Amino acid sequence: MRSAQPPTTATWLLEHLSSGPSNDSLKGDLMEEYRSGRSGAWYWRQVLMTIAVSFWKEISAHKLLAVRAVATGWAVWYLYGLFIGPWVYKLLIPFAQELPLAFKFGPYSGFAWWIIWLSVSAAIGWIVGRSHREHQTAMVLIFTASVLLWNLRRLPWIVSSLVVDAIGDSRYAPYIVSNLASVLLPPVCILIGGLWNTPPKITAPIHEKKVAT
Amino acid sequence: MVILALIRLGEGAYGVPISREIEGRSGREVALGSVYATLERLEEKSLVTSELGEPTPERGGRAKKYFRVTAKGLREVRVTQRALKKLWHRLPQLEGGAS
Repeated sequence: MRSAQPPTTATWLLEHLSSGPSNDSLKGDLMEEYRSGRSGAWYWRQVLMTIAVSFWKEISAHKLLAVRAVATGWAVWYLYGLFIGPWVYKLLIPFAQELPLAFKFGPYSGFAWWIIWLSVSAAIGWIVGRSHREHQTAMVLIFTASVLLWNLRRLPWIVSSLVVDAIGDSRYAPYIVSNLASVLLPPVCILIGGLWNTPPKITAPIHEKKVAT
Repeated sequence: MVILALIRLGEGAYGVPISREIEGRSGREVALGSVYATLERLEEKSLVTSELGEPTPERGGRAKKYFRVTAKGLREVRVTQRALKKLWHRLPQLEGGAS
């Protein structure tokens, strides 16, 4: 039986990733439509389009801030790689060698390497979010998009080389997983870190008149 | 399209009937987010006004936002209509029905 509540994940995304003075009414409209028989797929499409429209609107209105958010994220990442990263990995190597190598990738291996890399991604997302609190969601999203685009440059190689190898020999399959994870997981962690602790958007402006229906 | 839908609906126009009106006339699915983005832009230009209704349980406790076209909005629509009529006038490629 169909639930009276629209898809929870989509609603959560809508509440945390979109903004605007009419957001509350928009959410009510979507719920009303869903309860009047629209499908879950329709709800998801509407939510994703709403997030895209809201993101585009905010970025177009604050272009310089968006450039600053992207520059901040990459600068912090660069500085980490220059000054802190080598020390962390130096300390990590003895422990990393003891850990499972299932997700072998990069110069250092093991789960510890992944944990540090993804934690750093989340921390950088957090820094970008905290330094752009006024438009936190849009700024974190634009930085996440820049990292995802940068990571996607490896996709043709993953497809052309690893997938072809894996077709011939299934032992290569884990390498596809680890490489795809290295493309997708850092942006996800940036998003989580950047939006950590953000309350759902406050939407209805207080100057609006209330009338009885 | 949004402002024309608002004129057609008159009183009691909010997100759902506005998007349904556009969907019905254009035959395409409309993103409510785009409708609201357009309405907010029109409101910034004082072409429409809005009022909040009371929150209702079937909407998850969220209020409807009612929109209405202002006198300035109607004037703008008439100006645009006249301009479009002139642009449509005597276009040989569009005469003689569907082809």
